[in-house]
Amino acid sequence: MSEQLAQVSTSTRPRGLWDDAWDELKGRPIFWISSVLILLFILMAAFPTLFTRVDPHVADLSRSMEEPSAEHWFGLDRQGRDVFARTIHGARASIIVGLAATLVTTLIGGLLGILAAYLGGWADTLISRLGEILLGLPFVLGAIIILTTFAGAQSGAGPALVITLVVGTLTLLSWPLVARIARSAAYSVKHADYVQAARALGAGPFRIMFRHLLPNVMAPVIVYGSLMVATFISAEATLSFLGVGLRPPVVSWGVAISEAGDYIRQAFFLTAFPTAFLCVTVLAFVMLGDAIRDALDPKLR
Amino acid sequence: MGRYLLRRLLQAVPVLFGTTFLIYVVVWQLPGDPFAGRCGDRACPDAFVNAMNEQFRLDEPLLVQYGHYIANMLQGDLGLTYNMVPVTDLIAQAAPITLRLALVALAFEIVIGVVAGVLSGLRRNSFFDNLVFVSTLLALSIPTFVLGRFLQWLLGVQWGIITPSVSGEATWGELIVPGIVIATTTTAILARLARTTIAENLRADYVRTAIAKGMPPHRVIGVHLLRNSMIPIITLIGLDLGTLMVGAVVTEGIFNINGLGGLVYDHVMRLDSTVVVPVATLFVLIYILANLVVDLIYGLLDPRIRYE
Repeated sequence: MSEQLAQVSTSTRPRGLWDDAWDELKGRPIFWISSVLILLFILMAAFPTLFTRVDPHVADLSRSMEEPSAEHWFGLDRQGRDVFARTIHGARASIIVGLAATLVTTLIGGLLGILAAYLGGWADTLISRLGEILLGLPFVLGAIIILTTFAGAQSGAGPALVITLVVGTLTLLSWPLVARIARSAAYSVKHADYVQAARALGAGPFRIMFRHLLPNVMAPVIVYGSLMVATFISAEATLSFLGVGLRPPVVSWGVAISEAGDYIRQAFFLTAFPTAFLCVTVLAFVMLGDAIRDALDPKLR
Repeated sequence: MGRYLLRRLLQAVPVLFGTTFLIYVVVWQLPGDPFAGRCGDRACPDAFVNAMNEQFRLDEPLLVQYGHYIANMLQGDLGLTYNMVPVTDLIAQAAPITLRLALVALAFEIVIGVVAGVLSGLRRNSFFDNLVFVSTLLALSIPTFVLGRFLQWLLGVQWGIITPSVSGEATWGELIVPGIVIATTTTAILARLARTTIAENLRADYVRTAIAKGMPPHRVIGVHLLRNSMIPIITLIGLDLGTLMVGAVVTEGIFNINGLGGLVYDHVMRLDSTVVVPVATLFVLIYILANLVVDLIYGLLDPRIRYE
């Protein structure tokens, strides 16, 4: 007993939620498997030339839809472009869209949620009602409407603008979910004694929102956000598949699946490879999200 | 109860108006000449353009257009599409098909999702529990359109069990596979939710009390445990009605079903926005009503919940 006490007193920092969560994560194989997979995909997105030296845009029409071979592992697509190179290079669009949309959505949603809880009154009503409108609109339908609206501006636009547009659309339609979670988390501690005490000591609104409310909002928002990456990657592929998201010349898995779809009977491999990469990426993020949720939300264990 | 209902319905009114206005603004600001490509290779005759401008008041300020549009909508007149087909007729044809598709999906979600979740929650860490966990992981990782395309190819093209493309009548039998495709993601989420809820409530005091009183297990589980675990499950099912409509856009496209999702998609792609606002409004209305029904079911399940 005295040994234990001595040990506790020597540690300078008290153990908190995040230390416990890390300890929990460390011991889970699913966390390590998904992390390794995700790092691999991020590497692929950042430095595709590490994996392939073939230019994904070089087309040899005379070898259209050639079967996989030693020279071209995943075969050639309809335009005679190397499917392996296109699949590797396709990681970039998915990873950027997934991570960027999640980051922006959690920041905006979290901020608006805290503001709604802290300010209350008309600000709360405005943010909540606006969120309700956006949530009532089915996600894919809303995205199709917004993206086709800007389709004119999109024609001839560079890949960066197209990706920004898709990220913006996903964010616009998803922030209310995060705001709702952040609002209820912030609201539950708004009247807590320590917040009242901080206010009595003269803390300003910014100090209360960011020093006292924000830490309580972090865990639920991170749990939700970690699962959101998978949803966004899947949504990007869906929209590109429908022809309203990313479009050629951007190299993306969704675009590749869409293009290959018409030849599924003649050349199944054209669909199979990008689909497999897409599903494994989503799977990795779902597993990571699961592990993080289990670690941060012990109640669900 | 009556006052509660009234208040909730009144609260829905600004949301509905907000939705229609927002969509109206986005949709009617579609850049590009709406008449481009309407009349084949040549430009549209002035008479046609004028007639359209008059009907949709495209040349008037946005707010006047919107006010005019809402006034007509409230009288049940949704106007004509650019092809001169009444929008009301199109919706009336498409709605029953989407409804049938949604019901098939809903049935699948409830039967498979809830049952698998409840059973794995009752037998945690069993083989069955692990099987459900891996299945939900896979179901969550496969995007709806990939699953739809794959099943269409496997069952329709390779094995010939189903017709790859659903006929105009869209009978119940034809909608089974598309319904399952739409429902897959939610079924997985539902199974996971049911599992954690059941596992959590299994440790609750009232369950221990019921067992201590000597109640037979089927009564403890069937009456006490299930009834108390239903609230989060029903909330998810209610919220998911919107998702079912969405799945509709992708899945209806893949299986060539002439429902609401496909209707909107086709028209947005042709820059014909006449159908978009009414259908989107319909979706939001369904979403609001579903939420209301869910809140009312709470009261039936948990007598402690009172509506003031």
